[in-house]
Parts: sequence; C-alpha cells; structure tokens
Amino acid sequence: MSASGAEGGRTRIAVVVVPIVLVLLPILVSLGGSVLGTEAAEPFLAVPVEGVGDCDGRDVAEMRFHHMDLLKRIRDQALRHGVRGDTQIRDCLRCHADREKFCDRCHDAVDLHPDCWGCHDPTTAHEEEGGGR
Amino acid sequence: MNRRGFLTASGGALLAGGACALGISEVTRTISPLGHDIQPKTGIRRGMVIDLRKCESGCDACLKTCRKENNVAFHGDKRWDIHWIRKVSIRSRTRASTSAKDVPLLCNHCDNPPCAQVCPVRATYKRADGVVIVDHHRCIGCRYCMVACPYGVRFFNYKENPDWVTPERPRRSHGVVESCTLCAHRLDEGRDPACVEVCPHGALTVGDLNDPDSEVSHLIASNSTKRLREDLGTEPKIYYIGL
Repeated sequence: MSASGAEGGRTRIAVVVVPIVLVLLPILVSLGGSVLGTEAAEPFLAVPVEGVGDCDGRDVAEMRFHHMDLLKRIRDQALRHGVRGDTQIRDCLRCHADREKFCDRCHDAVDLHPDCWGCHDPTTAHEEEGGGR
Repeated sequence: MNRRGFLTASGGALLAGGACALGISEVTRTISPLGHDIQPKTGIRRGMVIDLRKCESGCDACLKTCRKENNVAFHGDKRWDIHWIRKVSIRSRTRASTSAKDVPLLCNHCDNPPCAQVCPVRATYKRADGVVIVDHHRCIGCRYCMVACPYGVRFFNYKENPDWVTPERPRRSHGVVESCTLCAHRLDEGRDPACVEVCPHGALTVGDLNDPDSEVSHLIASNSTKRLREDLGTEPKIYYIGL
C-alpha cells in the first residue's frame, strides 16, 4: 500500500513537473545560453561623438527604450503644432555618426525597419528605404 | 494542498502579478521622455495675396525656388512631376475678349479644406494657423484628397525623387501625396515662404488675415481681390489681385 502510494505520488509529481518544464524550456535554454555565453551577440551600438541634441543628459536605458517616443514627440510638435525645436531627426546623425552601427544593428536584430532615413538623410538614404514597404 | 489553500494561493499570485504589471507600466510611463508641452499658436489665420499686376508671365523664380527649397520632385515627365506652385493659364469664360492670364497656382489653404475632410487617416489637416499640410508619416497614399481638392494642387509621388537638392530639408517617399505647405517650416521660424522671399517683383505677400494691420489685410482692403472658386464654400485663403 505504502509502495503503491509512493508510486502514485511520483506519477502525480511527474504529471505536474513535465508540462511545466516543457513550457519553460525555451526560457531555460535562452537563460542557459546567456549564462554560457552562447547566445546571439548583443548588437553593438557605436558610441556617440559628443552630446549636443535632445538626448543629451538622458539616460541610456531611457533612450534605448523610448527614443521612438521622443522622435514622435518632436515630429508631432513640429508638424501638428508648428513648434520646431533645435533638434530634428537628422541631428541624431551629428553625434551618432555611423548609422549602420548605431541604428541598423539593433533594428536588424529585432527585425524592425523604420523608414526614417529614406526621407531625412540624403547621405545614407538607401534605395529600398522609403519605398513601397 | 486543499481547495481553500489552492484558491488562496492562486488568488494571491494573481494579485501580486497584477500589481507588478501596474508597477512596470507606471515606471515605463514615468521614464518615458516627457518633452515640453507647447501650445500651438492660435488666433492667427495665415493667407497669401498674389498681385497679378506685378507678376510677370515669363518669370518662374518662385517655381524654381520652391522646388529647390522643398526638394520637390522633377522627373521631366508630366505624369510624375510634382508642383507645389505652378503657373496656369486662366481665361474668363464670360468675357471672350480678355486674353489668358498666367496665374501662379498653389494650395489655397482653405478654411474648410475638402482634402482634410476626406482623409481617412487624418494625415491632411489644418494647423492652428490655418495652414493645410500633409503628415507624410501618416499618409497611406489613397489619393482621396487629390480627388477632393477642387484646385488640383495635390500631387502623388509615383516615384522616388531622384534628386535631393537641399539636404537640410526632407524629401517625400514614394506613395504619399504632397502639396504646398506655405513653407510652414519657415513660417514657424518667423521667415517668409521661399516663393515670397524670392519674388523679384514683390507680387507675393504672406501674413495674418485676422490681423487688420498686417500687409495682407491692407492689400485686401485696398484692392479688389478674388479667390478661386469661392462658390464652392471652401473659403480659400489665397487672394488674387487683378484676376
């Protein structure tokens, strides 16, 4: 009786644990990868030359998560309210000179393709950008 | 674990999770870039007066400057060329004797802009100062506005602009509609539009129609002015003297 009870307990535990492990497997694998250093390389962002723009003085993490909000805000204020600050989107490239390293690496890593530069940067405008995407 | 214990534990976990989610959203909101909130200018109603008595028929200074200032596409093909300002020949239907007049035609920045009314995504809108512009980020290229505009001053980018003459100014991508912005970027800086600035004959004037002391108001008060298709009720804000 006691042996079969232990058997039933183990089965019950297995029934609970196995699905949990299956569900968590992707997370565990990625965690293990980051611990072992085998995960995909973090996109490297070029260090800006100097801070002059609106992002100056802002936290790096804040800019990383919210630069698009800031850009949209600048855009809406200029377009909708006619309030054009000193900073415009092309000014980003004054410090973050290498667009390839500063914008594209991250965007490529997360498979995002904003069309900013097709209209805003003549020097690095790509043919495919600003096109019929 | 009995049923009561299970329910208590799961309920507690749900509450904790919800609180965490709220906390995260709060943190995200607080660290998101809070720019300075600026109120749009109100009370201004910008308009233009074009004095056709001064405007010379062969002159195309304003056309060229506009193209350069705003990177307006020129492909050399009627189907794709874009004109923010162009010259059209207008002849009176009622008086057969009158000769055709070369008239600069641009967006009329109507008080009741039909283009803005039909835009399904609110990409075209009237600013607080009365200037009608297109938010090209938002334009989906449906071209309803081109159909709605009675003046035919809106153009569609069938192709990418091959030239980028003025790198400081943006260009428009393929697939959006564009028209004259009355050089809103210059107006916001307190400058006159490029065409007004360059006109060698001083035929163009831009100003506040609400201000009775502005130059445009004086011109309208002291001259006989006409607007294009006033009968449509669009209330255009481009006034012509000598039309």
